[in-house]
Order: sequence, then structure tokens, then C-alpha cells
Amino acid sequence: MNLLIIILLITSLLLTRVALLKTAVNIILIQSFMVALACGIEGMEAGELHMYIAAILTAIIKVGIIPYALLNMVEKLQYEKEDHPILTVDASSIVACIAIVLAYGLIDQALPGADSRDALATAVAMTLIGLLLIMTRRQAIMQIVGLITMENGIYLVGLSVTKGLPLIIEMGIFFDVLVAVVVLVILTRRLKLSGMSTDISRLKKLKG
Amino acid sequence: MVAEYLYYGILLFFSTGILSVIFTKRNVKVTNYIAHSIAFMGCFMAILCAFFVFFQGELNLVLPILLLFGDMRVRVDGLSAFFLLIIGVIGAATSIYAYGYSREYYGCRLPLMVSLYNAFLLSMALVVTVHHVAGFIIVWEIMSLVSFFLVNQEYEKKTSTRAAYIYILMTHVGTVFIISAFLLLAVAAGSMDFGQLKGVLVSDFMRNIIFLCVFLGFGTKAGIVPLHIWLPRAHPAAPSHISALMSGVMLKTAIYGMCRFFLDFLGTGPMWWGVMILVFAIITAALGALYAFIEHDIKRLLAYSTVENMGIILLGIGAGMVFLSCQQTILAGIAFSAALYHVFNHAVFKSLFFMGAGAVMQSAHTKNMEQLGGLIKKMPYTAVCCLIAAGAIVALPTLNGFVSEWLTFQALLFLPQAWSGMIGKIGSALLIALLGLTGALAAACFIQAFGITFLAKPRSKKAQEAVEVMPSMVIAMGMLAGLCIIFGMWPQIMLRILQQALVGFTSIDVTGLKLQEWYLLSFDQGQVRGSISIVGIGMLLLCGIVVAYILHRKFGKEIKATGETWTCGIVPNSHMAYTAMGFSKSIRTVFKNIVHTYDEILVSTSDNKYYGRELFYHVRIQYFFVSVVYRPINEAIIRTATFMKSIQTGSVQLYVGYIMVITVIVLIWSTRW
Amino acid sequence: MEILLSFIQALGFILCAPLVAGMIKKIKARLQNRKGSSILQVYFDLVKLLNKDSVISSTVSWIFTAAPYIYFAGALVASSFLPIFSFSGKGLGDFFVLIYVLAIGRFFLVLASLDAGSAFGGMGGAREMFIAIMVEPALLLSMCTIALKAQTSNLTIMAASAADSPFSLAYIFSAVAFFIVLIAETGRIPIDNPDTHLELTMIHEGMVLEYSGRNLALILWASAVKQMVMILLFVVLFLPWNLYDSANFLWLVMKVLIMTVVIAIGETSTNKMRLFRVPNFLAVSCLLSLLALVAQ
Repeated sequence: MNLLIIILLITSLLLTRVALLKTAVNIILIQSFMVALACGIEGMEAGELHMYIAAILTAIIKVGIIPYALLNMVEKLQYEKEDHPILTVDASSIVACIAIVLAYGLIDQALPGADSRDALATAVAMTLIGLLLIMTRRQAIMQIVGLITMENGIYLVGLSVTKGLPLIIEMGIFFDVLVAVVVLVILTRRLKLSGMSTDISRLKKLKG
Repeated sequence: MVAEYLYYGILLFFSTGILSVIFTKRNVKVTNYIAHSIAFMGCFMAILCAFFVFFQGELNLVLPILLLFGDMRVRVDGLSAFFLLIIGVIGAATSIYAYGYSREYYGCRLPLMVSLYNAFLLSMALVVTVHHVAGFIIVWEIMSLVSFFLVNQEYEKKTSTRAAYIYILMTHVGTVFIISAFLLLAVAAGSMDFGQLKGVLVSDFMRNIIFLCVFLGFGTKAGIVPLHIWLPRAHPAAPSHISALMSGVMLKTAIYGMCRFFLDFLGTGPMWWGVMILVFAIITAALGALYAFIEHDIKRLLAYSTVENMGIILLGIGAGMVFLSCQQTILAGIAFSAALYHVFNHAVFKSLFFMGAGAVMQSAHTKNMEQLGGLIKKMPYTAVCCLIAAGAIVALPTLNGFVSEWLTFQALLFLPQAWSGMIGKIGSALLIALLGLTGALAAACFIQAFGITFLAKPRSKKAQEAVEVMPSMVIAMGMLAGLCIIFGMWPQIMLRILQQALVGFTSIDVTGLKLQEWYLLSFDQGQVRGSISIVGIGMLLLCGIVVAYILHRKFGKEIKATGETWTCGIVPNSHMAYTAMGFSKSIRTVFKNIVHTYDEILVSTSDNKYYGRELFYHVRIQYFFVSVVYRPINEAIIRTATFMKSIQTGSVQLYVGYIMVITVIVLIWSTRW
Repeated sequence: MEILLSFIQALGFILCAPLVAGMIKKIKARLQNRKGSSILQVYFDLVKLLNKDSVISSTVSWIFTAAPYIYFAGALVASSFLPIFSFSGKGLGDFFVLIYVLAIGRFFLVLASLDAGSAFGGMGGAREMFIAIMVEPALLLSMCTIALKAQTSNLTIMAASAADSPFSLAYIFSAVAFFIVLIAETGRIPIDNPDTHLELTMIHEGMVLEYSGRNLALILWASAVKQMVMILLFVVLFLPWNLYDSANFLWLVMKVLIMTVVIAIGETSTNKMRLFRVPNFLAVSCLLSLLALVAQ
């Protein structure tokens, strides 16, 4: 379990450093797989059926469908990459570190002596890093990556706090993410078609 | 039981009126007659229903409308019935008037207008009868929205649209306060029913807050200065019979709301409530009259005069509140009777004048007085009706406006009974003096309105070609003019009804007014006494005219010669007659600190400079409250909006950044770091 | 019955009013070292006018014809309200009503001035209304000084209350305040000049410029009645001692005489004031009334 958490953290930190879109999607694939694994392990410890279902769903959606769609997309966007992020790579790594520290501090303050301290802190940190990614990256694909990171973080919070959410809520969340990603992928495609680039800072022009 | 059926009749007729346009869509003429007839029937039912309530006691029923907040209870007590009566009387007259007046709108969305007209009447009837908080707020809102659409009837004109939007904005600001007042009370009472709101125990602080909310909320609707700015814009924009209804009836629903709160829900309050109302009322009355006087658009003039009259009504209510706070029940009864009688009178004479203005507009196609004139010969019946209305507005004795104004004067004169000491005396004297000033200003204003519009020579071609309007319009005006005279000569009739209306409220005692003798109206209760015999005055006036006639005829038959008006030897023309602008010039000069006016002379020279120039005299009025209150608010909003705009860069990243910052802040704050 | 008595009183007023006007004229003439016309001259003028033909403008409507009657009737009603004898009618002698009854006449006369469509009439009417607007608060304030003390607006009770009250500073203040109003209301110098209708000075006279013959006679007569009403109102409220006593009817006549002398002296010793100074003049009256209220 601890190993999983460490891998999750490392993947999140790595995300702040990549420039190639394909690499980013691969990293997110690994990250999602780790989350699914964590879910499965939790289910094994608790011995509950619905945790397995949730783990399998996670695997299918986040490790299967979403990365597949994204990779497909990236293939088409051959010449796009994260050239000039708003915050440079080094700076965003430092901010990500600060986010991790902040997350630990928050968890210590809010739930002193919790069993799953590391898991919770990682989850909060992932959420913040996800937000950070969305904030500082120009490429649409990177935004989606940030969103999924955030979502993974939130999922992890649910997992570590409640030992598994009710199935119906988890299904809702999955569906939500799926729809969001589908919409975003379609949007990105349209963006590419009409704007010749997936650099979302061009969207500013749309403002009235 | 009969009253109940009549009440359902009202609702049924007005609803049918709303829907009737669907079936008569093909022919606007048929729509006009059918829908207005149905509206007339509904109004007739309203009058009957009100009378049944007066004679048989109040009416309770639950409307079978499924509402989220429980049953919609309807209770028609005396006060509601009184306002229902006003709606009925004025609505009946405007419905008849509308037969003829609607011809103007045959090509201009008449079905929509007629449908909204019925909806407007329905919503007003519901406002004064619904006894349920949520129901009241809903019908109040419907009333505002329907009247908004009616103001916006001629939306091709930019001024109409602007007027309508200012109206809807102001009315919603008012509604916010009304809803807060109701909810504060309803929460304290734990019920939405009006019956339960009575005498709810709330702290003094909360009571004051509720009072202020009521005053501001209903005050916006009633057009108290400085919340009046929508009124002179909205009234001229609406079709004339709608203006008549808005000014005559819709504004009165605000008075209904105030009475409901002050007499029923809030109970006896501290004295400053009344004093505050008095102060605002006298400012409203005086400034309304002043602005009306310097106006030369006849419908704007009437709108400002409405502001003035609402001030007079509020003077009565304010005095009543002061008396209430000192348990002077009889005086409070007189004051509230004065206010409510003026409510009725104002509804009658102001609707009448609005109809007259509509007739002039239809006939001469302008509402600018400077282009009218000489209409008394072209439109004799309209002129007589307008003269009666003008006389009633300026409170000439034997016309209805006088009695209520006299009662208001009496109420103010007795203020020191409740408000003792030097301040009370001086306050009372100042209020009386300012009310006198208001009356004199109103007199000047309506002499100007009538004199410039109907007398002298026509000032434009349009006025020259004017003809008398349709009989239905004259009949409608004649009905209201008759009411002006009847209720002026025998105020006892309406005051008796008012006693019935107010007798249910224990906090005031309306039996102080003695109405037993047919010729006399008096009250005599120890320190408080006064009496007036309008019939006596009327008889004396008649005697005076007879004496004058005898003197006139005594010296044989008069030899009359007809000649041109003396203008120092020049052939008189219409440009020599006095204009409205000139008539009010001296007042504008004296009150220049209150009404800033800028006189501008525009010169347009012709190509040939020897030929002479044409001069136009133009007056621009700067309204004190617009420049002091509204413009700064407006500017502040625009400044804030410009500032907010810089936050909205359109960059998605930045928006997410806001979210992140907020998330972090919330996280930190939630853990109380 | 009371109405009948009031009516008789009003008829008495109508008969005497020209005499009072004539007296003021006579005293004024004597003060200016002129011999002056007879005291009865006003009667002669009225009879002369009543015998003359009228010229009526072709522009005018029925309002022009009706206005003199209504003006006259208004003055008559006002004169029936005064509590000269003890019977001032029930429901009639009310000072708010008195003011509004006088307003009826003014309302129609100003309308008539606009009716002929000449600039002079309109100017007179506009100025008349201007002064009326300024006078109204001053008049009400000065009346309030007594009405608030008596706690009624009934003139009979007010007069009785005034008769009971001691002669005091407040009393003088309100008397002076009312006197100013009286001058303004009756259209005398320094507000208006009743003897001329020059363009610069005309107010009341300008307003009735278009009238001639009998109509003019009615208007002049009614103006004289109105002037006498104001004078007697002053006498009743501010010089009220020995009221009601029929033996003191002579006293009443004496008081009216004193008033005419005071008015005449005032008129000879001042000159007409600019129109836009009138508000200041009346503001003095308002101020005095307020002082009287404070001093009460």
C-alpha cells in the first residue's frame, strides 16, 4: 500500500515535468492503474464485494477507455507539445512540492493520528497538483491530464476516509469523469480543426 | 354565500377575459369589444362583492389552487373590500373608456394588450384579497410584471422601453424589501397565513427592521420621494387607460399593504415611525407638486401630481401612526379615514384626468401642452370632465378631493395632542403650512394644465384639427366626473363605507366621525372637535351665484359686443398666448435651489441672414434626486463592473487559478490552522 | 336656519364692502395731501360699470363668462363664515374651508385670464398664482398660531380663544405675520397696486384686463368683499376683545376703521416691491408665525 502511494506521488510530480503529451498520457495511465490497484487492495483488506467492482470499473474506465481515447487523440496532434507553460517546469515542480507539504500539514491539523495519513495527504496533494496542472498548462490534453489527476486524488480521499464509498456514488463519479473526458476530447478535436492548435490560451479571443 | 359566488365570478370573468383573445383572434374589433366587456363585468362583480362584504361581513374561502406553501387562503375583510371597490369602480370606467380608446391600437398588438389588461385587473384584485404570504408575493409579482409589459406596450419607442426597464428595476428593489418584511414576520409567526401574523411577538429591533422594510418596499410602489423616479417615466409610456389604472389603483395596493402591516400585523409602534412617514410624506407631496408644475408633458405632469397625492395620503397614514403610538384611537381613526378617503378620491379624479389626457392625445396626437390649446370648443365634454377633475385635484370645496384634504388638515392640526411640546406644535404648524403650499402649487399646476390645454387659441395644426372623442370615452369620463361631485357633496356615503372597512381594527376607533346628519360631517370628542357641511357650502355658493346673477341682470338686458382680444392693436395670434413654460417661470426662479433648470435659447438662422431668425426656447430640468441619489449609485455600479471586468480575462487557466486559491483557502480555514 | 343667518351676514358684507374700499382710498388721498374722491365713489363706479355694455373677445369660452359669477360667489361664501355675530354656522366657520373657498374664485379667475389668449392676461394669472403659492403657507402658519392654541379650526372657537388669551409677545408676532399676509392677499402695495394696470405692476388688474362692463363690476365688487373679509378676519382673530356684544357693534366699526387707517398709512409710506422680493417678504411673515408659536 505504501509503495502504491509513493508511486502515485512520484507520478504526480513527474506530470509537472513532462512536455510531451504522449508521455503525460502514459503517466496518467500508470497513475490510474495504481489507484485501481489501491482500491483492489482496500477491498481485499475489507473483504467487500463492491470494492472489487469499483476497482474493476476504475481499471476499465481510467486505464482503458480514457487513455485509449487520449492516445488516439495525441496521435493526431503530432506537432503539439507543451512548449511554454505559464509556470516553467522547475517552478511547477517546486509548487507541487509545496502542495505536498501543505497537504501533510492540513491532514495533520485536521485528522491528527489518522491511520491512512499518507494516503490522505497524497490524495489532497494530487488534487492540488491536478489543479496546478490545469492552471499552468496551455495544451488542452494537459488540462485533461490535470483533471484526471484531480479526480484520482478525490477518489483516493474517498477511499482512504470511508473505506470505500457506496457503489452508486462511485458509479456516478465514474460516469461524470467519463462524460467530462469525452466532451473535452471532442472539444479538443474541434479546437484543432478550427484553431489549428490545441493551445487553449487562444480561447481568450472568444471573450466578448 | 352570495359574496363567495361573486368573488369566484370576479376571478372567472377576468380569466375568461385573458383567454378570450385566443378565440377572437381573427378580428381585433371583436376582441376589443368582447374582452373589455368581460373586464367590465368582472369589475361590476368586484363592486357587488365589496358591497356584500360591507353589509354581510367578511368572506373567507380557500382557493383550490395547489401551491407549494399550502392552501391559498382568501379573506375579504373590510379593508380588502374597500380596495376591491376601488378596483371595481375605476376598472369599470376604464373598461368602458377602452372601447373607444383601443382604436388607437388596432394595428398595434391589441389582443396582447387586452389580455394583459384583464390579467392586470385580476392580479390587483388578488393582491388585495389574498391572505397568504407566499400567495401575496406571487400575485404582487405578477401584478408588477403585467404592468411592466403594459408600460412596454409600444416597445418600438425607445423611451417606452427605457421607462419600462426603470420601472421593473425599481419595483423589484421594492419587492426585495416587501419579501424580507413578510418573511421576517412569517418566520417569527411560524405560519404563512395572514391571520397568524397578527400580533406576533418579535423583538423591538426586529419590529423596527420590518417597519423600515415595509416602508421602503411599499414606498417604492407608492412613489415616495426619492423612490419615485420610475413613476413619471412609466405613466406617460403606458396607454392612457392603463395609466389611469396604474395611477388610480395599482399605486393604492401599496397603501393597502402599508395599512395591512401597520393596522394589522405590527401593532402599536414607537412614535418615530409615524414621524418618519410624515417627514417623507410632506417632502413627497411638496416636491411632487413642484415637479408637476414645471412639467409641460401632460401625462408626466399627471404622474408627478400622483406623487404629490400619494404624499397627502401618506400624511394621513403618518398622522394616524403618531396617534396610534399614543393610543389616541379616535384621532387615529380620523387620520386613517382621511388617508383612505383620499385613496378613493385620488383614484377617481386622477383616473378621470388621465382619461381626459388620453382623449386629448387621441384627438390631437400630442401630449405636449405647448402644442395644444383651444380644445374647449372642439371637445366640450372632455373639457368639462377635465375641469371637474382639475377642480377635484386642487381640492375645491364641493368636489371630492376637498373633504379628504380637509380631514388630513384636521388630523395634522391635532398632532400636538399626541406629540406634545414645542416640537409637536411647530411640526404640526409646518406640516399644515407645507400642505397648504402643496395645495397652492397643485392649484397653479392644474390651472396651467387645463388652461394651456383647453383654453386660448390652438397652438398648432394638430390642435386645430381635434374633434370630440367617441361616446364611450365621454360616458366613462362622465361617470367618474359624476362620482367626483357626488362624493364631494356627500362625503358621508364613502365615509360610512370606510367605517365599515376599518371597524374591524381594534387599534383605531372610527366611530368618532359623526355622519348621522345628511348635511353635516363632524367630530366632537372632548378636546377634539370640528365640523364641516359641504352641502351648506354648496348651497351658499349657489346663493352667491344667484345674487351675482341678479346683480348682473338688474340693469336691463346686457348689450354685448364681440371683438378680438386686446393685444395693443396687433392682430392676436396663438403665439401671443401664455405658454406652460412661461406660466411656471416665476416658480422655477424662486425654487431654483430645489429644481435646477437650465433655460436654453436655440437660434436657427435661415440662409438669408436678412430674413430673420427663428428662436426656440427650451428648458431643461435637472432633478435633484436623480443627480444626488441615482447618478452616484449608477456610477458606482459601473465602476465596480469595470473593475470586475479586469478579473474576467477569459483565460481558462486564470479561472482555474481562482478555484485553486479558493480551495486552498477553504482547506486551510476548515482546519482552523 | 344657520345657513340663512350666514347668508344674511354675507349680504351685509356685500353692501358694506365698497364702503371700506372707499374709506381706504379716501384716507390714502388725505395722507397724500389730496382731497380725494368721495367715500361712496366705489359704489358709483360699480353702478356705472353695471350700466355699461360689455366687449367680449371672440376667443373666449364659457369659462370666461362663468368666472365672475363664481368669483363673486366664492367671496360671498367666505364672508358668511366669519364669526362676527354669535351664530357663525355649524359646519361652516372653518378656516381651512375659508381658504379653499377663496381658492375657488381664484381658480376660475386665473383660468379666465388664460382664456382670452392674450399675453397680459396670462402674465397676470401667472403672477397671481405665484403670489398665491407664496401666501398660502404664510397664511396657514399665522392662522395656526391661534388654531393650535384653541385646538380647533373652527373660527368661532378660535376667536373666543383669542379673546381669552392675554396680550403677549406671541400675540403681536402673529398679528404682524397675519397683517403681512393680509396685504399680500388683498393685492395692495407693496405686493400689488390696486389702482393701476401698468404692465410692470399688474397682477390682479392684469388678470382681469379683458373684462368690461358688468362682468368687471362683479369682479371688482367681489375683490372688495374679499378685502373686507380679510380685514375682519384680522379684527376677529387679532383684535378680538369685546366680541359678540351687540352693544359693541360700534367697537367693531371702530376697529375696522383703525385697520383701514393702518392699511392706508402702510400703502402711502412704501412703494411696490419687485416680484421676486415677495417670497422674502412673506418669509418674514412665516418666521414671525414660527416665533409666535415658540413664544406661546
